[in-house]
Amino acid sequence: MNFRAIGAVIGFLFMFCGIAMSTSLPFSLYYRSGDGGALGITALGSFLVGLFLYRLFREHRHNMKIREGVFVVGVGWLILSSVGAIPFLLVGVIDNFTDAFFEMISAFTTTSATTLDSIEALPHGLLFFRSIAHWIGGMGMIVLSLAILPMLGVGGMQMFHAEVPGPTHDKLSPRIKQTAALLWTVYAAVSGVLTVLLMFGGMNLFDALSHTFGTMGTGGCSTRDAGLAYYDSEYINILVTVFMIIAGMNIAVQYRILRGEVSLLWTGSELRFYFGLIITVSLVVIGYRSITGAVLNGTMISDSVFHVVSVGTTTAFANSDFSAWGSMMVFVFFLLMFTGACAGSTSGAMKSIRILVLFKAAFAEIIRLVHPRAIVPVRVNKRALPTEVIGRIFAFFIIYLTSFVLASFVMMLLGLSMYDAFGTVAAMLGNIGLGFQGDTISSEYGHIPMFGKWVLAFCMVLGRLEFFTLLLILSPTFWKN
Amino acid sequence: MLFVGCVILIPTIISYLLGEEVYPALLVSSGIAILAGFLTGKLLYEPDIELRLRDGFFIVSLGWIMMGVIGAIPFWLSGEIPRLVDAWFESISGFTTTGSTILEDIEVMPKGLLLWRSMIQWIGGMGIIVLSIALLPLLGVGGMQLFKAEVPGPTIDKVKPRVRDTAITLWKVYVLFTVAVGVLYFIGGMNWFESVCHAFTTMATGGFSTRNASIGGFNSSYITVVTTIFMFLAGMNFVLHYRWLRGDYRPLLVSTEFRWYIGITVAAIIFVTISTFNTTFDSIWTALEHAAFQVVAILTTTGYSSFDYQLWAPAVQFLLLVFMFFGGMAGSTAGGIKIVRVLLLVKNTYYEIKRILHPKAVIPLTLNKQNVTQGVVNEIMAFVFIFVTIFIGGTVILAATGIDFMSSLGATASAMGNIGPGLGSVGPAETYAHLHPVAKMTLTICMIMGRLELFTIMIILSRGFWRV
Repeated sequence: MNFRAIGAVIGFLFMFCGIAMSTSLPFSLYYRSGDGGALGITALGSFLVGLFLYRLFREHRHNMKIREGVFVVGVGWLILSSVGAIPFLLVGVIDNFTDAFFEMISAFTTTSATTLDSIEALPHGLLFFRSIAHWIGGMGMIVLSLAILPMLGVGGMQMFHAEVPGPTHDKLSPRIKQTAALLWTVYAAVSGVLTVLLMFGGMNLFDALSHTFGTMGTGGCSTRDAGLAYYDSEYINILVTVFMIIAGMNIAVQYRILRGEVSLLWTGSELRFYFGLIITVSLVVIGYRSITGAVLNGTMISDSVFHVVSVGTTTAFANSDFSAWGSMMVFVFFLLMFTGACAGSTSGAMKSIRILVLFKAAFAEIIRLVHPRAIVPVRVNKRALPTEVIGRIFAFFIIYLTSFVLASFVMMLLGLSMYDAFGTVAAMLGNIGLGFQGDTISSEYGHIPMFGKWVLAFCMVLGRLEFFTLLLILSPTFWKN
Repeated sequence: MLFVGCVILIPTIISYLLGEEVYPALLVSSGIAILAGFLTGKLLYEPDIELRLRDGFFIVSLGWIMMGVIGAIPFWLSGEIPRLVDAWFESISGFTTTGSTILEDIEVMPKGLLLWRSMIQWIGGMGIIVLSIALLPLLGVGGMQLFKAEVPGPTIDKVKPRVRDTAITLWKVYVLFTVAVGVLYFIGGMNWFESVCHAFTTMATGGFSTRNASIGGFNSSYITVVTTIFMFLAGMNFVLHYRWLRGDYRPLLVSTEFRWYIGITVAAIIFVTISTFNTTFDSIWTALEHAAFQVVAILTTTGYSSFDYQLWAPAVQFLLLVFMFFGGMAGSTAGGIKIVRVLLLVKNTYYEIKRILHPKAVIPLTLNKQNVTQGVVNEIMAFVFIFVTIFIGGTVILAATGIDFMSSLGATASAMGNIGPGLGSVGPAETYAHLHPVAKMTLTICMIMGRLELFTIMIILSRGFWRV
């Protein structure tokens, strides 16, 4: 393990965190929300610490290998969240480190779970920082899922190895840097478009930016307690639905579509599955709701699609409460929490591609049973997948399930009912945020005991880092040379 | 068929002897079964035909469904279960050794039918032993080819004689244990009728009881303990039983699956005892007794109950829910995913981390010092995936019929794993009587799929199967 190289990157992260935090200063000053001092001091402190570390280890920054990369990814999330928690404590809106940390880790993992009763009570500066943290988390996820995970082969992601645009260097850092720069441009461009469109819908800059961050990071954070329902605007709902779908697409594919390969929209296996899933589930939801008594009209349809997309892309804006739609709908949304959108997007959970491969591989297994000597390939994008990749994807499914079971068990030991524990843990592992709480669906977790919050925070990072990355760091083999 | 027809005659005679009015119904069913069996046998019998893989899958699946139909006839004809759906549910729940019931009051049922009900499970258990020890390893379903070498009996390549010899050997063990537990029940104060019924359903890990309160209805620690021990034995691989009965203890000692089976059981018992002591039970011994009973009853997928576990903490209930998926050892009468698959998956996940760190190293998975290929591991994972998928599908359908979230979940898990009681409105103190007919049909399909290790059913559904 080359700790000097790690030090350089971590220094960079500190600096980055400071810069990100300072973007909320103008809003703090403009709205005179009184949190400018806390934000400014933390931002400056973070920047200076980062600068110091970076200067110290600068010449080692290119010595990153896979092991160091994995370590930085794991620790990076913790550092960002710890630093981010400081202004909340300084201002005093949150009175203990656990809650502040939970708030920030949920932002950086694009989960958007909160411990606060009312986010509207937050001063504007902090509110903005909370939102932009979702967006930054999304940026981190893009690098992770397109540069690091394919290299590690986590959960079969090596199949994306070739698809990632950018030069193919053997060393980690130049490759990541160029890939990231390319894709972040796409990310920022799409975000910019959404912000402008939201402002057309009547939002002010502050709200438009915050909601853009929540949408593009598939976080689902809002500046209002009622979420998007506050604006009561069909235009905004549909606009956000469309952009959530875009945010759920592989960003490398977005890049290629923007460069003119529009046919990817209907030729890619994963995209087809992703769109198919959204359409099917939306139809089921609309059908079930109209059978059980809801009036079939435009609002009901757009509302249903909004919710399916919102949970399916792991964004989960808190709008209306789908628990009132009947136990079947609750179960359907519960399942959606596990599917997630496309690999290489900012969304969490299992990802469409894996689910597609799981189904195809399971079917191939059945055929193989009838014809033991037949060779039954599992194809994705017209290429047959090697057995090892399929094995990795199955293993990913198993570890997802196991983590869900174990974490639910711990939450039940802490006193949650089985139903609440299921909903909460599924929401954390998939980075959704919106979980079951008794009779309602909510993203407010203030009532969870302190230890429980740490468990949930762990789940968020576990899910965000696609399980194996975090487990890798925690395994003794990782530390052996 | 012939066999089932003859078997129905037994409860018929007993029913007649007891002077009950249901014996004509049983007699007629028996007649139908014998006739049908005789006819199919006569019409289709060609002595030299060799069974192929596909035919094996087909016969097993069809056999179970036919048995279900025939088993339902007595219930329906006698008028004790007036609705066909209910009679079918009860019969399938029996043959798959599930033990879910739609009967609100078991104790008023005629004895002939009760005996038939228990017998169904016992016959189902016999079928499963053949299926899981002789057929599945040969067919290689869900990684079960791992057990190919373990199957006792002569190793002939042809399927038919081999299956027959294996079956007869292991049925002897099965009968022996059934007699043993029956005698122990009788000593413990059950009357002969209840002893026989419970002996049947214990060894089949079925769970039908003649009492509304199940084993708890006897209020006897002796019976609880005896049942716990024999359920545990029934959840073990019968090949292991066969070996140690013949004085060969080595397989028992080296079997990783057996170690895991004991380990999981003991750990769970300790956890449940601790969590129920002082909250539900005042005495640690009562807590231990019920904890052990419930853990073993669910893990072996028997589904008897000595106490309503819905009164216990959510974490305990969840543990039992997870156990519904685990099931006993491969080659037992238990349902579920089976311990061996679970243990291979856990091992594989652990190795996966190593593989990521050392992409070029070959890190093979082993079981009992035998290498397990990636292909087999994938098959097992595919098995679990299909299991979970069907479970999800079942739950969606159940929820669509208006049952609440947790009850749907519990009922489907219970049906897939062939346990019996579920959660919520289908918990151990409730029955399945109130469910919508669609829900009942869905559950019976889940039971058959779970029982036949999924693939058998899936194969018939797959297009490739019908292509010659």
